[in-house]
Amino acid sequence: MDNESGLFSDKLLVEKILNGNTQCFAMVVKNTERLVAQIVRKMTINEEDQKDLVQDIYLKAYQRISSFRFQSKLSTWIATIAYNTALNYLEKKKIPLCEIDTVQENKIAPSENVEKEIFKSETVQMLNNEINKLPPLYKTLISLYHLEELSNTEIAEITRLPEGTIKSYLYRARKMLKDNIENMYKMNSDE
Amino acid sequence: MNNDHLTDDIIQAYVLQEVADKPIALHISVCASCKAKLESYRVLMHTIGNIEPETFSFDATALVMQKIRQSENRKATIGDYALSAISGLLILGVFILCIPFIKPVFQLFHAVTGIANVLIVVSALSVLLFLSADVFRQYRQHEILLSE
Repeated sequence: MDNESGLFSDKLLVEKILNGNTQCFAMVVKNTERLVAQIVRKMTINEEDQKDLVQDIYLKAYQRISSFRFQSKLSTWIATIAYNTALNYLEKKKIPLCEIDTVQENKIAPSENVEKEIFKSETVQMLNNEINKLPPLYKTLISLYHLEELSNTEIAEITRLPEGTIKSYLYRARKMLKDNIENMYKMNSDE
Repeated sequence: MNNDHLTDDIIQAYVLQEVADKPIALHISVCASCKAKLESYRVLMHTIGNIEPETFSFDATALVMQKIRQSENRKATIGDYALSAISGLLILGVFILCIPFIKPVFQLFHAVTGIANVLIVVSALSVLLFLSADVFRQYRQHEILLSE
């Protein structure tokens, strides 16, 4: 039902935009800005690059809106454009999408009983910092899944990756986060 | 001690309720290591959920709309140039085609009286005025429809 009403309002918005109502497009930008920010801010660091990317993403969406076929939500369609545009940006800058830092993974094998206590003592800020240290694709997937609460299917639509691959990347990303925080905790307690 | 520990993937899937096998629950209830891992992942996922989603440090909507206006203006300028060029060519073509008829038309006006000439001009102007008013009215109607 929600999905249907969402598609209905998407149709209404798209019709008005196609009739030249740019204020409706401003509304679309406002509604999807947060989702696009999760992708752009996780894939890029430089603010000027983020500004260029955001302009590029929405200009593409505006120019191609007549080709939107309502097979997904408008927000998902825009997020797909955002993901592909950010992906091109990473390719141009030769930044690897999901290069795994194996050094961190092999550092210390945590003992059984420390695990439980570790995360309880960590702050949200520290975890956020650790997420930002992940490869671009992993932190984007973590944001889309946990912060935007998108399903694996929706993330698959945006990234054009198979659902199984997304699940597997998310498992790896969470394991990296857990291991990195455990290692950091261990190193702090050793000092 | 049980050496066949659950993999991290299975533990995560169990936390996310993607799997709900009884053997997994049974193993976790007896294995301290896997239970600790499960707890870690549970806290990790809960903490991630508490992170405030990042937003842009700039007004994205204003920036985007400015870019779109610029793009629209550029498109309109190119369109205007193209329209002017086509109109110019069309007018020139019509003028060239009319050259042979200019002299006979002037001769026709010379042949009739002054009052008849005035009547012809007034009638032509009235028709032109009426057509212009109609075109303007239709344009306004379309404009209202599009902005609704």
